[in-house]
Amino acid sequence: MNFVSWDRVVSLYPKATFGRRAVFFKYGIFFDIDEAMERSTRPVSSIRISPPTSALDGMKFLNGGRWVGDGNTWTVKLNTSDIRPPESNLHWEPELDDFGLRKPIACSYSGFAVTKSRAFEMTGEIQASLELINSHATSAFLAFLQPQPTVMRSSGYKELSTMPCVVLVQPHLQKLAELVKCTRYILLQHDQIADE
Amino acid sequence: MSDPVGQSAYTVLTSPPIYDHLYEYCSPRTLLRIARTCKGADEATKEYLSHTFSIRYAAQLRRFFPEAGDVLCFRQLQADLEFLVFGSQAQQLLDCSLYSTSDLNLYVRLDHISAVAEWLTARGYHFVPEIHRPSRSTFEQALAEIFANDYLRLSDPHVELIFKTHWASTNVRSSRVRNAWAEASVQIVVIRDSPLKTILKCHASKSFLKKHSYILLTITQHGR
Repeated sequence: MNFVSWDRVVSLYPKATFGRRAVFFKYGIFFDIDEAMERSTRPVSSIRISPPTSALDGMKFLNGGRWVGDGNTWTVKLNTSDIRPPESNLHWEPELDDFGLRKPIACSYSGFAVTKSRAFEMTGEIQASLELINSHATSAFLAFLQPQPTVMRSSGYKELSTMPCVVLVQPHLQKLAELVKCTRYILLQHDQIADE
Repeated sequence: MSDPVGQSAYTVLTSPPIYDHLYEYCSPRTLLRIARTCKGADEATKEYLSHTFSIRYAAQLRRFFPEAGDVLCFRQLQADLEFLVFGSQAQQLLDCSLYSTSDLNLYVRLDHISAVAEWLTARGYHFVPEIHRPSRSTFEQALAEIFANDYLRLSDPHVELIFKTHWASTNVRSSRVRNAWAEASVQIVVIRDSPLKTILKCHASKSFLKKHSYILLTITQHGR
């Protein structure tokens, strides 16, 4: 969640993005590990699966009054000395709710009631191979994979389960193939469900 | 700065040896940590980042608009029309990295699309129709269809239009793209409302999770 306006660069989740190197993968995302590797300045080469609770902890993903430009936003002003400022200021006027309070960042993470057991249950199939690589240290990036959707029988809607699965990718060679295999497998499953 | 400690920290942290040589090797995370130590450090890093990012942003844009003066012209256009650059370009800027193949994603309001398209076309870009949408084979057709079908009022939050160009890559700084020709791609996301609102709605709202077909985020993280 980073963007550049005419006068500033903004990161809404700097701690997660640049500190923990985290990515939240939404449902149906096109996940291209090769592209990620190509873009990587250092080889990304092994993975670790981690309970979402610990991964989300402290990254300010959780809702509760986040707004653009708050204390957890990273804003860097750009040099605008040669630029004529716009007449209006489209972006930075806080959006107010019915009570005149600032509306928080609509945050997908806020709705997640994350529990360890459920997350591991969903990733059960890849658990075995991922356990091998669970022990390596420094994380290169963290990928949250959206879990399989579940059908809510009462309403007939296809709802997404609210449990993310978290994959930590770390610099350690050999194991990458496992990640590629595992992730693609998961996403394939998702696509199949989406096409139903 | 009234605080004498902050003042001396600021003096030290903006001194040429540190400013010119040390910060360059700091990751964003390190810089943010330095900023948190005291007011002086906060000021110093803010100043450094603002200066560096302005230069880097210009360098990134030069990949797309290599002609002299075009970068400033683009930034003026951005100020006038208040569109946002979203995605990997913003990420690269903040992360002090460069991805050789990434495109430029613009979130532009519907009423400003023609102006942006015209500006791009004048700089050698051409509209690239989507293969699976034969009804939008030209930019005019695509635009007409967007207006006619009132797409943006429906649940579909945005429509993407892609512009591409080719040129000799003498201006491309990345060592990875040393081919004779480079391709630059600008993706315009057409939106009805404020660009920021759309970004927040599309990329951060829970309801959006259910609309699986509109996800733009790609993986761009890397180890450092």
